Amino acid sequence: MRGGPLTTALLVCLLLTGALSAAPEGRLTGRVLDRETGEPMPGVNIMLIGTVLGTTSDAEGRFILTRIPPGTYQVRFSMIGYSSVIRDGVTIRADRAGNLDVAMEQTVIEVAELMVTANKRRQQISDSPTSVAILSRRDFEFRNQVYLNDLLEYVPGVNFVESQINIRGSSGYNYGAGSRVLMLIDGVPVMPGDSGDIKWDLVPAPLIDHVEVIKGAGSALYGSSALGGVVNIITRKALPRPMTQVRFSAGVYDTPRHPEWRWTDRTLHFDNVNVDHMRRAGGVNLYLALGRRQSTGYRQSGHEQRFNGSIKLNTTINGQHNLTLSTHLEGGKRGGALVWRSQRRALEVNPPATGDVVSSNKASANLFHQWAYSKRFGIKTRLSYFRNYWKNDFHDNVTASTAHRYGMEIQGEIQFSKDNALIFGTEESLDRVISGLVGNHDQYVLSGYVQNERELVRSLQLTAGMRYDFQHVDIGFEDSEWSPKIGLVWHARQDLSLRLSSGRGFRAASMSERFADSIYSGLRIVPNEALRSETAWSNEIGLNFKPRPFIYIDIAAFLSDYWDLIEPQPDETQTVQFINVTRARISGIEILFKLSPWPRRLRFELGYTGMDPRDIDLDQALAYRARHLLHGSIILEHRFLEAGLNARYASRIDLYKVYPNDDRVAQKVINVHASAHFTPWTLSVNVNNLLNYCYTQRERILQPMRHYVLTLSAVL
Amino acid sequence: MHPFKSLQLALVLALVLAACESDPGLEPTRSGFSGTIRFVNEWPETTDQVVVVAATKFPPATTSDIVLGEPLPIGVDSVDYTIYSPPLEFSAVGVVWKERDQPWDVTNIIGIYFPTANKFSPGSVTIPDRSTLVRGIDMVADLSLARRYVLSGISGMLRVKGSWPEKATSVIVAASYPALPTGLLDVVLGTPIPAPFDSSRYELTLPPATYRLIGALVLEEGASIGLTSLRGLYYANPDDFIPGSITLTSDTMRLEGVDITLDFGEEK
Repeated sequence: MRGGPLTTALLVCLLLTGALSAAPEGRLTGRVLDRETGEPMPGVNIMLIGTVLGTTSDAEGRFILTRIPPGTYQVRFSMIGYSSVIRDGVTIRADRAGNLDVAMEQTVIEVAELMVTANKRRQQISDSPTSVAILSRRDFEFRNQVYLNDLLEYVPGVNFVESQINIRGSSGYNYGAGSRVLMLIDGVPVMPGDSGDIKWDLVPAPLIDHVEVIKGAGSALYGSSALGGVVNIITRKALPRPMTQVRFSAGVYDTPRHPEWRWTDRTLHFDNVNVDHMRRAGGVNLYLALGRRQSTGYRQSGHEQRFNGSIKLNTTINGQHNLTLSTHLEGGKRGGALVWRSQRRALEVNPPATGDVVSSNKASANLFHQWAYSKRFGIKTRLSYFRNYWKNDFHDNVTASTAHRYGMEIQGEIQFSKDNALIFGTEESLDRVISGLVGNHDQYVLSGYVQNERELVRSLQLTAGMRYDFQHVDIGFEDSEWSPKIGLVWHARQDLSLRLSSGRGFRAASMSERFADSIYSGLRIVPNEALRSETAWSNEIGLNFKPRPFIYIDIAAFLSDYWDLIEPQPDETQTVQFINVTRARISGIEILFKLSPWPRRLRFELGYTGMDPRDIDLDQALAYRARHLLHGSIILEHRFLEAGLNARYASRIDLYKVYPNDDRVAQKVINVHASAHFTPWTLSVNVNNLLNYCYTQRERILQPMRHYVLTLSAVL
Repeated sequence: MHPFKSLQLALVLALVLAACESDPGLEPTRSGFSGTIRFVNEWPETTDQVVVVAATKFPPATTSDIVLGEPLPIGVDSVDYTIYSPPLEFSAVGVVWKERDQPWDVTNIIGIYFPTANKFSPGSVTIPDRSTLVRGIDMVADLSLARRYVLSGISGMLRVKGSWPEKATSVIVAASYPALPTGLLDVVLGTPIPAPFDSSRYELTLPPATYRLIGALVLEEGASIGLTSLRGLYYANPDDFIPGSITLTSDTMRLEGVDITLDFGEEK
């Protein structure tokens, strides 16, 4: 079973396409420049459309594509922030080098032409049958946040309950046990085997190139946890140009709005230092990043001290093989208090808990090999390892846990023609947990998937796929899931495309949910070894419309049905057990509007998501979900200055589950920003939560009050 | 952009900001209730926390039915306390003891607010609005009632004779130290078992002691718990006239077969 069918398929593909690779080959060279400045552009993606062949421009904007079978091609040049350039009729002759120089122009609105990997292969965002949102480096710099979760709050349809991400209301809040959204780093799942939640601090924002947020069930390609969506973090590329970037930011928290909440006379502050360096050494592109964050916290026992480091190595061999090794390390300590002392003293914790500390560290290592065997056939192989260690040093509980995840994925891609692509692959993972909370357990998952994208008739594209997952837990529990999906995209006009999709998702219970046996915050948690996977069907219909170069509109209506949702259920003895309880339905609409009336000077963005999250069994609202999400931003740029405002609103949550009598309010947060660029330096000021608005996302944790951040960065 | 349009935009933004500024969001709770707790008997060495608990339903069925106060100082003779809470109507207010390294058990009650001499009927406390602090919710907490974690207890079957009262919601098995309990604090309450049922197994954890009365209380919607809730008693032999008593002599001793019949007669 292990890899057998895949190996056969790979051999067949090699035989079918082998003749092509044996034929005489040519190559294509060229240079990419910025049309406005004439500067060379490093990091531009260059793809031969209808093939698996591609490369990236170097520090001087130069590129070279080798081993191209003779023929006539379309070549696409793409990069975030620039309009894609497609060159038709590029002829490649045997044993001769063709040359192609292009100039790229900055986009007014960048979304429509972005390339995403939502379907495990690069495609334009307008070709994706499901909604995909992008956060670019520009967004990170503008919002100036350290952790990714603080940035994702401004993506339409996304909101957070503490550190738990909700995409279109999928997750609610499970006290960190399990996630209904899957996180990938460069396409590799990074979810610890014990808690199964997302560790947002593993990759700090400065290391990220961009983030793709795929909405709706994505298990047909990604398997467990992709029930409500997928967050794919694409880390920065290791480019050959020697470059060092330093970034220092420091900030202070304002005093609480209400005198009753002032708990200290100290000035509460935080600071971050990040240094990264990239260069080419010995034929290898190297990217190295180090960072440190420390904070007193804005509330008692909210202090933290964290360190992180990353190394990424990339090299291309014979123009056919691309090899990337990346590692990320993160660790440190933070205060561990889970709830406030009382709403009267909302920034303090109960006296016994003031010394509670959580120590943790994480390490991930991924080896990614991309092999363009021929122009029609490519193979991607990923080997991954993720380790997550934590220790709770609480006044009433000392527990430690170490989770190891070993993963392997082999994916094949056949580009039959420009409009017909097939991907298929197999994925295996082994979770090994040694834990004081859940005991010692192993869990093994074997999966296989296939997906075809083809043009049915002119401008109508069909995507159909299926994935099978088999899960074995060491106690003898076994489960298997089939996750089909189908999608249609119709490019009705050049500026208008419509999409329709339906897909199944599932999430296998995390080991915490299945095996946790502990006393936590005075509540007894007992195991439930028979937990079934929770499942969902997500359906979506949407359109994106770009009537003018400076206007972009995306509208979607969605309907998601959930079965057997796993929820913590407190009983009358104050004992909590995770059980399959809820049949739920979430329906809603989502609108994104972007406008840039004064190109590259003034930009507006407005996003709205309206939802009806219903617990069908109990005929009541689902807990921890907001019905209305609204976000907006205005950015004004003039020469070396930039200023902006961004705001978000989440309506009052209908239901808290553990303490339903607690007060709840809507979330209304406004952040402002100003920055000045003096090459190579950038100085920026942020005021976050400008109105010093007080709110919670779940019971008994007040969110940060107004804080001021000063950042100085330089690219050397 | 035209300067006039910029001005318009700035004006709209200023108005939005001003409107938002007037809304502070969440505020500190200023309403609630307060009183004095007098502790009697010795503080157990294994005391972890003692808190005031207010329950919107008595007895509470889940954590969502209760509001927990902040931990009270340990080792004192008396303490003034204040519980801040949004406007709510509490059916009962009590003092709950928590043992070190053990989870919360809200049935581990060492004191209850009784405004009258009827010690079977906890006093209710109503917080009418967001600015009222109800005073005078005084209690006596008897530390000898603190139950440490034990494995000992009783179990048996609950059987039903006759028809359930229409408004019955749950059944609680209770064990009393004296044969004639003088109030709720003489009684160890079990956890609610949803009603109706034809028969149901129960388990009740009890510390070592002699219990002279073991019975089942039927809770009805809208009615408060009291002696009239007692609808079945344990008898050692079916023909006995006097209710049976049991004695648990160790932390691990468990007695099976402590069966109780709920006798509803012909009641509908």
